[in-house]
Amino acid sequence: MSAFTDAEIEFLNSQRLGRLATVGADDMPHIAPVAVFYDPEADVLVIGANVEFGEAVMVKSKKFRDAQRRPKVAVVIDVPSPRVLEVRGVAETHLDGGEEVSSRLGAPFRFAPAWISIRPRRIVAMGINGAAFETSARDVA
Amino acid sequence: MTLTDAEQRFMARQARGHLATVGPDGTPQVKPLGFTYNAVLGTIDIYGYQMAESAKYRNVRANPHVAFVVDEVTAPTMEGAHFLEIRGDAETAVGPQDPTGHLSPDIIRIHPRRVISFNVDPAHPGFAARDMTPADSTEVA
Repeated sequence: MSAFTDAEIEFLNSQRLGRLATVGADDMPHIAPVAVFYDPEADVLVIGANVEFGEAVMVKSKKFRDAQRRPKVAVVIDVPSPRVLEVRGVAETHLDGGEEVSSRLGAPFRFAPAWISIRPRRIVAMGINGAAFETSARDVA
Repeated sequence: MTLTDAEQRFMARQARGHLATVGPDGTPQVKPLGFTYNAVLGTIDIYGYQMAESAKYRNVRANPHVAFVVDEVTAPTMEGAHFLEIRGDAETAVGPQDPTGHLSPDIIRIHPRRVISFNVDPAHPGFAARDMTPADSTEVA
């Protein structure tokens, strides 16, 4: 059974743009716009970067290095209606395999080799599982 | 003054930004929020519904380190990606009463410490980063 509700998965699959928060070695958070995908096989979120922006676009990024060092991360996907899905969880950084992952997930672009997966630990949703402005929060692991 | 004219113009075009705070267990939290650039103090002032009851507000009172990003995609290319990330230290404050009465007067006020931009100033496309000191923004007791 998925950690996400059907409505959350439908929302995730309707959006691409998210914002990922990591924490740096200096304890300062970092936030970056990213492309987010739902992986139904592993029931995780996947962050991939377009290889056209360079083979090293992900592996050299601050978010990747932060997540390697400190796997606790958060990602939010939202639209102004407002519908907000925030996922806090544990990141796993992968140095290769991005191309296969992007094709398996049907991504609209080919990933650079390095990619990030996020195992959800807490899911906070607004306007997705119920009425507008209705908020739900739950631990999922 | 902490932000350049080009950075202020970019921010003014965007309705929302995304704020990352850090929770008590070290996990970041990230949410979409309304904001204004406070040109008098050189701060980013963040508004929200029931702000004082929110986790981000509690997080900031316990750990002032935050990151805030404003971004825009104008084309699916490297040149079409624009973002302005501000890392800094936040305080809680009371802002002017919202004339619509919807938003809480309680705000999160960010004093920028590092500003990272990508394709924000049309005269200087690409990446730029700079640090600033506490003296660049004004603390109000």
